[in-house]
Amino acid sequence: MRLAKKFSAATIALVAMAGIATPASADDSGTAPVLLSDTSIDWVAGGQGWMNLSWTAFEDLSDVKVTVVPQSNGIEISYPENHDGFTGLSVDSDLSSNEIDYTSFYVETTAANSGTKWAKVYVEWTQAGDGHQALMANLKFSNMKYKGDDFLILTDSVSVSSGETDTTVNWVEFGYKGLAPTNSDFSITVEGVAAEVYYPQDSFTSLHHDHVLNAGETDVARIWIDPALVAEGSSEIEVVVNYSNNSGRAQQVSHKVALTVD
Amino acid sequence: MSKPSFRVVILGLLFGLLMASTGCGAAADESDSFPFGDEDSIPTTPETLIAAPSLVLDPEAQQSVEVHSGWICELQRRTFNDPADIDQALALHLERIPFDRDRYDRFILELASDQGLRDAVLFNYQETCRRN
Repeated sequence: MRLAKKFSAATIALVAMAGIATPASADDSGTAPVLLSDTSIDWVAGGQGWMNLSWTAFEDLSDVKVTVVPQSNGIEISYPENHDGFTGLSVDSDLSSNEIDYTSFYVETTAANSGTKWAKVYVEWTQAGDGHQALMANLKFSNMKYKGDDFLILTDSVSVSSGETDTTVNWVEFGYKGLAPTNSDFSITVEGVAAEVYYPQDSFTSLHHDHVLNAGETDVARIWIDPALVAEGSSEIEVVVNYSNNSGRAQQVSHKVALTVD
Repeated sequence: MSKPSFRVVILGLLFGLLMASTGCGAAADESDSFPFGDEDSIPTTPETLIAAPSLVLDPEAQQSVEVHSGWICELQRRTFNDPADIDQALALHLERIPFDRDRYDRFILELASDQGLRDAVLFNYQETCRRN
């Protein structure tokens, strides 16, 4: 699934005020799908991801569509790309009597806006040829500030060759794995190398994929050490990592790496 | 609902822009208490969704029921970085049991046409997921 257009509280406010049709809040829930999932959700500020709501029905329903409408700033909702402005059931668009199925949608929250966030869940369905729609739930996202290490350092030793003429060799990689929802703006330098270090960004290096390290994501930072200028032996170098943490604050950590030149 | 007049629409647009720009539309931002007056219109999910089914399933079918309801319970409590991770998580769920993936996929296809199986899944979900 790829993401379709995002919906934020500001967008919904504009649309609603213009009198353009939005999911109705009328109580039309006589034969509605039944929401099984909890509506109170613990959520780390700045977190993002696909979440799922489970549904059942007491009668055969068809053309089931679910929309999740943000009611707070700092939260955005997206749907699978194969649906335009809504999400659908995983198996098909029908919900048979006592069947359990789920709908997926993507939630993004900003770290700067901690605190409780709200979103309304609406559902549309068809039963015996008649269309219905209803407000089914108020989702409560209890945004918590992230506490814990920002990322894991995966590299504690590297090796390069002295006298190597192949310039594709001697690229050194330092690996990192994200733990906090989002860390960004990585700027990494190295100290203690007894030779000139080549940085891809001239005076620093960053993550290879992009400048953001999300939770669970693994990426590397690369530097190049000129083999003609480095002598055989072992030493310890210091990698200095500057970045912005999940709350947007500038941070610096450094870690030691054993460098072997053979 | 009658169509709003042109003047109302313009005033509404201006009001909406003001609300959006100042963030006032996000009245529920920092409050932990229920901010909406529509709580009475939201349907309540009943405590008991289904009575114990009278149909007794054979052990194989019963195991399929328990595996599927367990997966739904796990799925709704997790978030995923990518939609493809959902299928990977299902594969891991089945591997841990262990339960054959082809057998699971066949069971999912059977559910659409078998009320007895659907009743059993819902009951198992009610007893093991909603009441835990």
